[in-house]
Amino acid sequence: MESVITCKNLTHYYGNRCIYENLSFEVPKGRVLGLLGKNGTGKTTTINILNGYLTPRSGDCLMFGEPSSALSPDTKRRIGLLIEGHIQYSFMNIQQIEKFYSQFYPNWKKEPYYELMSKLKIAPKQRISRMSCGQRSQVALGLILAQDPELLILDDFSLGLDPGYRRLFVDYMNEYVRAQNKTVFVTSHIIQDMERLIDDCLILDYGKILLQESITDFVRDFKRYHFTQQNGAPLPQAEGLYHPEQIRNKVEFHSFLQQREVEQALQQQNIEYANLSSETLTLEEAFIGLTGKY
Amino acid sequence: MIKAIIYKEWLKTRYFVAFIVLVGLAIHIYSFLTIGHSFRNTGRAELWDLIVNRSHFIFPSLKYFPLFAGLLIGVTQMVPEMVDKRLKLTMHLPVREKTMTTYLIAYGLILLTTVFILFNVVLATFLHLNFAWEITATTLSTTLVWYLSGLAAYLLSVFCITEPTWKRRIPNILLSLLLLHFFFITDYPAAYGYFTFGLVLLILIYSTFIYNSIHRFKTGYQD
Amino acid sequence: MKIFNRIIILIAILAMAWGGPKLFRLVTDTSTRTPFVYYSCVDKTFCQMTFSDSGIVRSNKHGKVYNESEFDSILPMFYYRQLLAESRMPDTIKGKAINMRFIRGNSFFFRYRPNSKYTPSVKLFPLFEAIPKRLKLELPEDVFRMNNGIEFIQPETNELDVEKSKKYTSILLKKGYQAPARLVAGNPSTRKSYDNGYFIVDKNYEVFHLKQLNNRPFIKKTNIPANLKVKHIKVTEYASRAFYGFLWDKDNKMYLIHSQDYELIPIPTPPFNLEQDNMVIMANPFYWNISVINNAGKTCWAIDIDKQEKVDDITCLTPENSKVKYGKWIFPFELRFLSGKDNYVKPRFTWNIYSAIPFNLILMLIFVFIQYRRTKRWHIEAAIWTLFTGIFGLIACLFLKNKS
Repeated sequence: MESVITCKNLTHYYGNRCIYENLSFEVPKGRVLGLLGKNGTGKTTTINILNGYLTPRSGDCLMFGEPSSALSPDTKRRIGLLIEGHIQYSFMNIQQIEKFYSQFYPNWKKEPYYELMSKLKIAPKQRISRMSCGQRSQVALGLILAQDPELLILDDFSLGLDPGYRRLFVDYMNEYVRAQNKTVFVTSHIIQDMERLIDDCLILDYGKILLQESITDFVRDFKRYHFTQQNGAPLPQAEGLYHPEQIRNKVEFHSFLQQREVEQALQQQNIEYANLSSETLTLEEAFIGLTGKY
Repeated sequence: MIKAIIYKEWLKTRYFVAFIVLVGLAIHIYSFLTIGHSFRNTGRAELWDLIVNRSHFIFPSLKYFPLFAGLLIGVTQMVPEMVDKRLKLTMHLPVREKTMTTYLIAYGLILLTTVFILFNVVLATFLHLNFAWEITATTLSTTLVWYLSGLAAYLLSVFCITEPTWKRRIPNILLSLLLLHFFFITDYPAAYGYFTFGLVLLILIYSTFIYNSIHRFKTGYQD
Repeated sequence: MKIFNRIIILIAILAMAWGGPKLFRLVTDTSTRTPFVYYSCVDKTFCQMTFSDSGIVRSNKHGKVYNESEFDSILPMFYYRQLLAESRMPDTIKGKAINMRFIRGNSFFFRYRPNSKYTPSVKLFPLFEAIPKRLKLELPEDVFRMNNGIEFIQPETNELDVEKSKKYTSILLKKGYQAPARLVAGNPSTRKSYDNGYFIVDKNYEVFHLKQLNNRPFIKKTNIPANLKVKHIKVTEYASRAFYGFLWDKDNKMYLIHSQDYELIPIPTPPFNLEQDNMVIMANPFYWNISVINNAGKTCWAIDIDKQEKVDDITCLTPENSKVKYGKWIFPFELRFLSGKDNYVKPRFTWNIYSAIPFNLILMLIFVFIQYRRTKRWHIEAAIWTLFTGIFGLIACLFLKNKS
């Protein structure tokens, strides 16, 4: 399938601190990809590189085949951007901002924008700076819907929103991107929200990609295992068993392996165990299981 | 598209433009009243003599007005862009980076030039009614340098504000202060003479500075 | 995008070439007083008073030292009031009877500074009544400008006095004046006892004399030869009324314009340049002390009035300030906008390129090696800036150069 975003061998440092080396990924057309990672793993760096607000030390990042650092106006027109914190021109009111943006986009659709705005309890001339965080997120969302871009880049859309607005945002976005076959690149620090929205996830760890696959596969395959420790056996240390932890005599770890393969791994290490059981996880639990709590 | 950009810049600056016009009018009216007062109390011939033979300048209170106006427009136009890095939105609009930058400073320059021309017309009319053209010319060539300092102040403030890092912004500010000083070397009336063209050239050069700041913003310079 | 960054660096270098040396001088500069020199009509040689930290030393050119009261008495034409007050004034000098009136009537003090000529000015001139009815000169009610003729403008109405303009213009044209005026020289001040009017140099270097006498125009074409290509005229109104003022021709040669028929009398002066040098004339009934002062120092000639020739001269060089001179080793060039020689703002460069090369080279090497140890890369561009523009380029690169 045609990729909308192609990143090859991205390497970036801040001073001497390495953010990541040789990061490569693609986002195919029509997919919703969530970029997940703990703080400081380079989510914002990646978003900035995609938007062309940061030139990586090396590597290429192509958006619709153009280098992201020098996008042509036509390509910029195809990309909708939601900046972290739903930043917009807050010195404008909702009519002014619509009038402003409409001049730049030939396919501007003002109906969905005003439909969304009609639900906000705001005065007609109220400036965006005087709105609540939630109301601002709706303005930013409405503008993206009106722009009707092929690719949406949403940077931490849940920042500062209460649960109601978060749900509203996700529902709107979900319906919109599914119906119109849009490509979305999204980050959020609330993984629950992502679960309802994204098809694929890209999980970053310090300096590398931990995982890139569809969340259905991830949530299906990645399980949490428990067993009861026998005779003070050590914690299992095998490849494919993530973050083993012990609470009294209960041992817990995460793995992509089937139960049978886990048993084999434990036996190979001569770990005595009893009551081995597994459970499926939500995306958030799976994310923590994979990346660890620290 | 240009209309939309002008619209956005206008929304940011309109109240301050009005403020500048009011302050400018107040300063001009005050100066005219002061000169009227001298006419009545010292005498016209004596005031002419002071201007012609003692290098007296009759509009001293105009000196820093353009500087203040340029600075105010620079700040009110660019600070909202830099707060929360809103410039990212502007740079994401489907216009090329350099073209957008050019539109932004062209707006400020044209706006200030228009306001300044307006005041110069007022000033020139007053001078023409009350003084020989030689005095008018000397006075206007003195105030011209000050008005040019207003354009320079605008360009330099924009250069400093759009710079993304403080580590670079501070040297930029120090440099800008030095560069602004070029317009205030002496108070001697009409002393800049032909070098006024040099100042215009300097302003053209200053107007390229912002491209460096915007480029640094766009490339994500951290220091 | 590099070009924009380089423009900033270049402009920053210019700004520092202006600010840096200025700051340096502010810290190191000390003023030196030039000695006072005056030709003694008693000793028949120059006497001088030098000022130093240890005090004032009074001596003559040959090294003979005087105390204060001795100094007064060998310079009677300068200290005449002191001597008269102490009744120490000789009755005759060079066979002439001396009294206060005689000295005052034949003494004057004249000063020329280049910035009095090279200055932006408003070309409007008040024409005084040459022989006022009252003792004090009064500011006229109009001013004139030179265009194709003369135009009088009245400040009270800001309108032309058409009739007066016509009257003056017709006479001026009749005398052969051709516009435009190259020079209009007068002394527009009421702080004098009479008015010598204006000397106007026209397109063909013909010199005209314009005055107002009893409310009527007095316009004469002088016989000052046009081939002198008069460069400057200073009108004076001294008590003796013996001359109209001083005139300099195209070669900076100085003349006196005699009151009788505008006869030009050459004045011997030390080498003098209207654009660069100050001149001071301290004249007494016997000798003129003509000093030419510039950056190098002061040269003074004593001119005997009767013989109209130089009788003595003295030169005092300005000592070089040792700290200030280090500047030329540190700064490869300097930009100034002002000069003591004129009142215009314009860029003026002083180049010390060669003397600053060693310092530039040292700076460059230190910079290159420190940067290499820090970053393991050679910073070629910054090194080139530093080599050619020295400390300015180094500072500009350290603080304003974009990293690649």
